[in-house]
Amino acid sequence: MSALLPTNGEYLIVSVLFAVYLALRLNIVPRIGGRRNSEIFLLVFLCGAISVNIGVHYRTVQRGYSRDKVLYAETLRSLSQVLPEGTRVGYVSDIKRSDRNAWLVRYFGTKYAVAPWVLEEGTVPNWVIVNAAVYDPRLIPDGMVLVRDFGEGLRLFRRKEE
Amino acid sequence: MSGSCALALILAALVLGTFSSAVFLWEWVVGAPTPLSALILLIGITGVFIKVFLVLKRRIPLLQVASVRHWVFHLLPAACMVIGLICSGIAVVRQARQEPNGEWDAFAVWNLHARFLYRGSEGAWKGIFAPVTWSNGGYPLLLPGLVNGAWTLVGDERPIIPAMLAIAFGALSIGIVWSGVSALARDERGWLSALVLLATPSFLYLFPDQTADIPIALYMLATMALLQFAEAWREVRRPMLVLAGLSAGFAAWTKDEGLLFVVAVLGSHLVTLALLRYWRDLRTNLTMIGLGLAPILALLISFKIFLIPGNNPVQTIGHASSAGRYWEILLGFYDAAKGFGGTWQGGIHPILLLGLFLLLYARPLRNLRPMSISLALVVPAMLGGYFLVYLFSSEGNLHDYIGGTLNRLCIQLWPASVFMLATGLLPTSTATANEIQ
Repeated sequence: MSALLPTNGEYLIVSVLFAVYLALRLNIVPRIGGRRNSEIFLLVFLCGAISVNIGVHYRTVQRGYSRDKVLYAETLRSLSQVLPEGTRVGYVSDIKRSDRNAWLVRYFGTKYAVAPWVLEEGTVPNWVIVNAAVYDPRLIPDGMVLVRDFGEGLRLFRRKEE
Repeated sequence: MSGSCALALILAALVLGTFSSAVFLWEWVVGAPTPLSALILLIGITGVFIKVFLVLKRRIPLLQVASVRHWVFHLLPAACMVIGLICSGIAVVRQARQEPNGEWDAFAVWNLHARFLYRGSEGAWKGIFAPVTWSNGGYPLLLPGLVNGAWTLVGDERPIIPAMLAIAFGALSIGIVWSGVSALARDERGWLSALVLLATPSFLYLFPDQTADIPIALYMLATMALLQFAEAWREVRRPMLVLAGLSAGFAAWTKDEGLLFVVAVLGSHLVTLALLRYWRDLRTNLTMIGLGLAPILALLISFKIFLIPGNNPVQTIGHASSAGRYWEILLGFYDAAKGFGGTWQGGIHPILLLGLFLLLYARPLRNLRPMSISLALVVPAMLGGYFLVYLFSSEGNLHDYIGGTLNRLCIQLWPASVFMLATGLLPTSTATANEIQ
């Protein structure tokens, strides 16, 4: 459960600076207060706060923002080059859908690689892609032959001609 | 100067939208365009918009800078902007290099659809609409169409192109906020409002993601800006309204939320002008906006009717009577408000920054313009629309659904909201410097 209010130090500093602004605006110390000075203070305060956020973004990206590089492995590229002209290709994986991220990485990576083929879950189409972490021959029904093993758990099968 | 700059940036965004729509229409009706035909299309569209720019530029009133504030007000925001652009630019490019193919939605939807369009000549691109797992085939095609058009132009499927387009959409948003606010306010608040955008990390994180959130944010912003220009510069009122309609159409052709935006803009306009009994303005404005909107709406309706299976936003009305559902949605909105900007764990919430900005510039409300009232209603109308979508959604896990979507929906509205707040409370453009102060 997230906190009701943010707890980072920036908000404490903002509160103090806002109190200073109010003191200037209400002219509590007439020598330095007044509308003009309070507006200049507020501008500097705003620019400082903006700079803090720009710094937060910069540092976050510096720390690394990379995701899902596995999707674009060469293997997926070579798979798309091997597929002949067609419309639909089957897709089988040993990864359970409950393991959402791992399943999505493989499924969408494959889908993206083989477009404009339509990736269809199951083994009904004549061509079937197996994208499995651990290959199990039982994933593929009888009557299909291996066309190529690309490595990294990626295999392409084709239905035997009658 | 800043008025011409704002207009040029907005027209550049409209060139991208028009080119995308034309390339898609070409592919749908004639077949895949060749690099030469795509180039001719781009040159033709750009030429038309340059002509529009030159005609409008001559008629935009040239007004003097109005600010009479202390020199710090001129120097500090501009200096911050330069530093901010350098830091944010470096960070955005770095992030784009870290994830060259964008975020999940980029390769699961937007760039995937672009690949279908580019690789799927002779009708194979219609595989986008195949009813298979998570195909999302019903999503509008402005972004995929644009990426396809750019790939067609260069004759190669280079990953850098969607990345560059994504960054260009973001940069245009910042540029339009800066120049548009500067043109209307005639003081330094243009710099500050653009800085508020640069100080919203979650807005910047979306640039290299290559999703459609930044493009739709850009078209929403452009629509709001053009509507404000139409009100402020009576000399170019009608063409600005037509362009606003075109821009709103592109928002609808970018993502489904854009249709809600069109309804919100037209609805708030209708309600405001009708309540104020500005009947003649109402008729003229809606006609002009409709003129710009019509071609893109026709494309969108044809797309929805002929290419994709039915997609009703009202998935179920079963939840409407559940009090718990309302509470859950409100909690989702609260969480989204907290997480907005990506600064909860470090940094300062962008709403707080906007509050400080308004404190600096807010003046007593006098002679509010009808357009400002109308635009002020758009964002609450959009949020109300999102609430209803969640209410009528059949998603099982509402908490995750809202958590995964609402933050981005709010980011889409952010540039337009900043623009509207920075310009909405201004007197008319013919006001003297003292009035603006």
